Formats: sequence, C-alpha cells, structure tokens
Amino acid sequence: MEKNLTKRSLSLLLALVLMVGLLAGCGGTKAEEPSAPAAESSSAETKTESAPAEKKPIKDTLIVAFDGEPPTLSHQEHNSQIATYMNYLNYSGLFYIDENLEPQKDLCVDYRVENDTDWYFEIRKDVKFHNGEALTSADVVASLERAKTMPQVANFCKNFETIEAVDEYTVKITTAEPYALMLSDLGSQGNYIIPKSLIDAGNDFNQNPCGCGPYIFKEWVLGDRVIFEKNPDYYAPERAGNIQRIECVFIPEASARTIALETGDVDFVINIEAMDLPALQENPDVTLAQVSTVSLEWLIINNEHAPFDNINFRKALNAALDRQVVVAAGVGGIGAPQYAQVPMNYPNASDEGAVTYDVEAARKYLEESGIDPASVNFNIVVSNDRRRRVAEVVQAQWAEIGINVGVEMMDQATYLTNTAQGQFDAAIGSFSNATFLGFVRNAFHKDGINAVNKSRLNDENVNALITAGLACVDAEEQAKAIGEISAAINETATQVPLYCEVLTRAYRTGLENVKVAKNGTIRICEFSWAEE
Amino acid sequence: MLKYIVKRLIMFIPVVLGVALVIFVIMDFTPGDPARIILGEMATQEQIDALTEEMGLNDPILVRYVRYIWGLLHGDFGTSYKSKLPVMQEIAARFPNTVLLAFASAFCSVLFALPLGIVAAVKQNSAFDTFSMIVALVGVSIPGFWLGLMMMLLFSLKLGWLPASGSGTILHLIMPAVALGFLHMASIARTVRSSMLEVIRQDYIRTARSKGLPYGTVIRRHALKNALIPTVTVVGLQIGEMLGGAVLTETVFAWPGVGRLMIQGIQGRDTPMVLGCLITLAVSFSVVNLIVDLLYGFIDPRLKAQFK
Repeated sequence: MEKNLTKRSLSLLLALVLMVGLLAGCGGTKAEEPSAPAAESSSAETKTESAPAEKKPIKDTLIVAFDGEPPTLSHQEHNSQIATYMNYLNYSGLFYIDENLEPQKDLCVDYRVENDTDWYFEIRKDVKFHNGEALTSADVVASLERAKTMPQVANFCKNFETIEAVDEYTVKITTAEPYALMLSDLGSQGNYIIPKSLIDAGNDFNQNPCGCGPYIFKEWVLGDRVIFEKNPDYYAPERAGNIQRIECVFIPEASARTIALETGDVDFVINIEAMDLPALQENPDVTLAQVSTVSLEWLIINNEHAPFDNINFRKALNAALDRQVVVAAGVGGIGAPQYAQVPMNYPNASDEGAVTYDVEAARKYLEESGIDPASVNFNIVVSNDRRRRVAEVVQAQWAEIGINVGVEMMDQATYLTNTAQGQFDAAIGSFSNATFLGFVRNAFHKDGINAVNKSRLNDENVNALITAGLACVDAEEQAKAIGEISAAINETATQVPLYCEVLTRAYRTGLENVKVAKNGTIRICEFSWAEE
Repeated sequence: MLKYIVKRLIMFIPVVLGVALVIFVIMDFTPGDPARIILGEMATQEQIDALTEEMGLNDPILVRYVRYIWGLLHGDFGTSYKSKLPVMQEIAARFPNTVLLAFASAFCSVLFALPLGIVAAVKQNSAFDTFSMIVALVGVSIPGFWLGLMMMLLFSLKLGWLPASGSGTILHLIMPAVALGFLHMASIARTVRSSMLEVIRQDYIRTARSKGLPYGTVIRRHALKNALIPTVTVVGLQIGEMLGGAVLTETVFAWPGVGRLMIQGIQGRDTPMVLGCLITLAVSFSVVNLIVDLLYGFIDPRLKAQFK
C-alpha cells in the first residue's frame, strides 16, 4: 500500500514537472517589457537613435527569412515571387515598379513615344555589369529578345513587335497597337537586362546570375540560403541602402520564422501568420509594416457550367455573402472586404454596378434565375487551411438562401491544373498584378481562358473595353477606361470577390526605408540599417 | 563475409528498380500537370503543351521508365523540373545534412534510452521503472512538430542558448537532433527494457550471480550484450527511418535535408526529384540494414554462420 502511494506521488510529481516545463515554453514573450505600437502603413515607421559624431550602421548584414527556396535565380525562367525579390537585388531593368505600383526610370534616363507605337528609350552610359562589361543598347535588345522566348515571362513582352538598337545608348521598341502597359512591362523582372556576351555564350543565369543590380550574387547554399554582397560599382548609389551583405534564408514553418525574428536570428520576415501578430505587436524589437494590397482573394465560379452560366444565379451568390463576416470569421479580420470584381486598391477602379450584400435581393435574383436552390449541388475547391475556413463561412451563408455546397480540399498542384483547365465548379483563389489593365487582361479577357481567367468569362463588351483600355497611352483616357471596364465587369458578376489581402511584413527595429508595395512586393536592395 | 556483403549489395538492384517503378506509376497517376506548375498561372496552353513535349512527358510511361533507368545506369538521376539543376547535385548538397541529423539524433536517443531501459529492467516495478516508462510514453505521444516549436520557444526565445533554426554550426544541430532523438528514444528504451527483462531471467545470469560476480558486471558483460540484438535492430530501423522520415523536424528547424527536398518535389510534381530522393533513401535504408545484419555477427558470434 505504502509502496503504491510512493509510486503514485512520484508519477504525479513527474507529470507536474513536465506540465510546468511545457507551460514555461508556451509562455508569452517578454511580457514584462513595455509594449510599443506597430507601424501600420506601407511606409513603415523607423526608430532612429540620436546620431553621435561618427555615424555607422548598427549592422552590416541583413538576414531575410523566406518561406521557401527560389526555383532558380535566372530572372527569365520563373514566376516565383521569392525569386523575384532576389532578382531585384542583382538585376536591373529600364524601369522598376515603385511602392505605389508606378513605373520609375532605372537604366532608362529618358524616353519618348512616336505615333503611339514607336518607343525610344535612352539608357544610362555609366552602367557596368557584375562581370565588368559596360551596358549598351545591344544588351537591352538581346535581353528583351531572350525574354520573348521564355514562357515564364513572355507575357510581359509579347506586345514588343520589334526591338532595335538605334545607337549605342538608344533602343527602339515598336508595338503593333498603342500599348498602355509598356513601361510597367519593362519594370517586370523578366525584362531586366543581362550582358549580351553571356547570352551568346549560353551562360546559365541560374548558376551565374550576372546583372547590373545593387548587389552581386555570392553563393547559394542549396536548401539553406542565398548570399549577396553590395555592388561597389552600382550606378545609382543614392537608391541603394547601407547594407553590405544580404542573406536570404529559407524557413518554411511560419512559427519558426516568427521565433527567429524575435530572437534576432533573422532581421526581416516576408510572410507573417495572423496568429503571430499579437505577440509581435507587443515586441519593441520588432516593427510591422501592413499594407492592403491589390491581391484579390475570390471565389471563382465556372461560368461555362450550369447553373453559373445564369447571371441572376451568380448575382444571387454575390448578394448572399456578407464579406465583413467572411473577413472576420475566415481570416481573423486581416483583409479588406471587397464587393467589386476588381481590386478597389487600384487607382480609378470603380465599384459601380457591383452586387453588394443584401439577402432579400439575393432571394429575388434566385427567383429571377428560375433555379431551384435545392437542385444545386457543387463543391468549393480549396488548396489550404485558410481557404478552407473561408469556404466554410461561405457555405454557412449560402445555406441561408437554401444553397447547399460542399468543401473539397486539393493539393496546390492539382488545384492549379484543374482550375486552369476548367475542371471545377467553384474554387477559392487569388490574383494580383502590378497594374489594373494587367489584372483585367489576365483575369477577365477571353485570352486569359485556360490561364488566369478561371471563371472563363467571355463577354464581348468586356473584351472590347479591355482591348481599348490597353491601347490608351494617354493617362486621362486610361483613367476613364479603367472606370468603364470596372463597371462592365461588375455587371457580369462573373465571380464572387471576397477580400483584398492585407499583408504583413515584420522586421527588426532599426531597419529603415522599408516600403511595401500595394502588391506586397518589397525592394530589399533599398533597405538600410539605422546609423549610430 | 565478403560473399555475403556482395550478395546483399546485388539485392540493391531489384530494390532500386522496384522503387523507381512504383514511384513512376504513382507520380504518373497523380493529378497535377508539371508543365503548368513550372510555367505558372499566366502561361498559355500552347506554352504548356510545348514544355510538356520538351520534357518528354507525352511519351508512354514505359518509355520514360526505361529512359530513366538507362540514365540511372550511367549515374544520371535526371534533371529537376523545377530548378533545372541535376538531381544528383541537389541531393548531394543536402544528403550529408540528413545523415548528420539521423546519426546525431540516433546518438541522442541511444545515449538516454540505453541507461533508461537498463535501469528500468533491473529495477522492475520501482519508481524509476514507472518514471522511465512515463518518459517513453510521452516520447511516443508527443507530436514532433509541437516538441520542436516548444524547444525553440524555451531554448532560443526564452533562454537564448541556441539558434532557432538553420544549419551551419554544431549549435544549429542540437535542437533538431534532440527533438528527433527524444521521439525515437521512447521505443528504444522500451525495447531495451523488455529484452533486458527477458535476459536477466535466464539461467546463465543466475549462474553468473551464484558464482559471486558483482551485479554490475553481470548486467554489463552478460545481460546487456545478449539484450543488444533487438536493440540494434530497432536503432538500425530508426536510423533508416530518420534518413527519409525527418521531414517534420527538417521543416520546423529549417534543416536543409533530403526529406524537405522530397516533399517539395512531390508538391511540384517534380518526378525526377522525387525518384532521386526515394532511391537515395531506399539505398541508405538497405545499407543501414546490411550494417545492422553485420553487427549481429559481432554481438553474437553464433550468428556469423549466416554470412556464409
């Protein structure tokens, strides 16, 4: 009896010790320290100490944590965002896209348009590639011609009918029609410039990514990190930060990334999970930059399948969904509710004609559609847990007007293939683009069917308006066209927009000049450490 | 013994052929178009068709299989669809990390499991026995993912002793090795305990004791050696498992190993990468098994007969 009692007491003690140990591990971080408010704008706040006589950056290395590894460092052979961020470090283009999604001159010093189709670009004369060669117009021509042959990036130069070197520092690009997206296309990483001599020699730009950007590729430790070092000969030192070395490390697990940021193992985290935000907001060593993006999360409905080919049924689906609830319950409030078919974060985008939340109107649309909701049976395809939660919120709300749907989980690869080929009824996905016209061309024009136009909309009016909009080189005309296109697409209720993503980037306090663009893009090359 | 080793090495060939065939068939039936995944959402159908043709994916599965095996015979594991790097290069960069993690975690688990199992058996039904079996139960029950995160919170964030993730130094290795080792320690401790319990009840142990040998010597020299065979088997199997199954630990600690590479390959429908990883792991598993079989002979010389 006594022996049993001792054993029980010991077991109890052990269990207690284990519990205490685990709770200690689970405890909040630095609870005793005073909290500091987090920055909540695209142009993040910085906390700089008063400068002593001799100014030196507080660090010379920046470690950035990504959630995955880039497929390649060759800027023309991928469509990965991770690889794009790295490409911005060591390649440059005629233009770059700033945080307001406006194209800005980079290698180009001046340009002019003749006859709306002939574009002349004058390039800088003081640029050297990382291999020491000087940049000339021949390099620009060779790079853009190469981009046209690369399926991953060809979309951004398919309108360049001819590319010619007028003289050593002038390039002429001709388009068949006036083309509004010329400058932003030239700011896309696929159109960045590489040495002609290396192209001709068949250089592997994955193993030897030679550009003329602010950082030089140093090493890629497969599976672990990519290292860049500052380019001492960079042509625009005023735009480069004071960081000597940038290490891009790969940490796939979200919580591990957050912990690494809190411990100071990394300085910048690209993707932060919503559940980690409260702890980071209380941490004075960490600054947050949040931005409402043009990345639209939507419920795609296949307009070629019944009953989604019925516009009143589509409007009923739109009207029956309260996006505030979707954002609150589905993504923890981190999102901007969206009723218009196009992201309202684009300048001049309009919500005219968008179907808003109104359950009574939804019932009316349903009645007008002539479709018995009880006869409707389809699944919402999702590819991750976040989207599954959103789909469940949608499921519950549509049930209120008698439409019962299921939720089907698919892995990303199958999801991509099935949705692109139209082998689905409904799915949750997202899309973003640097420009409004680029967005609608891909997502709503008939040419995007079997690619990004997953709702498979083929509306003559919408197609014509987009084509006309793409030909508007004049800014005022373009703004007007954007309003008209928005309204026309809203009228079709072609899919069920849910919310615009709000992205959070987190970094160690002391890092300056962090700007997050409206599509979530960051230009790491412009970051600087505060000086002490 | 050499003849035995050669015979076993020859057996690797059907293993590799079998693994390759099974993976080929599974990947072929798995939905998801590799060309579309590589080219992304904005690619046109024509571009996708062209890349599919270029990658040889329109050929019948048998043709692709034979082509792959032919390449394999020439030491070519193929080229990754995703990175366009030779699969061999990608695996070679990560395999040493996987091996390092597997052996470090095996070392950790044996270091703790052996004394725990021995003492639990020797002091059967004592408080220590209960304690060790509770530890074993906890080890079996705790999800590795959660344990890894808890360790990070404690040792990196709270105490600041160890780096939270990554690789490169011995400090980076400690947490993943201990986390993985703890999970495996449980089953090794239980195996040691049960085999020790069986051995210490044998007549020869009683005889050794009655001859007046000290208890410690009897346990160390007579009991433990005979109890090691099942233990070595379990440790061997677990090393084999860790060589391919440490995906969660590698993911949590951002450890650049083959497990993570394989998962990325599966997600991207990168058949050459998946094949390369699985063949490497199958061969590693077979090698570990061969070493375990050879160790039997050293532990128990009677078993050397099987080597003939």
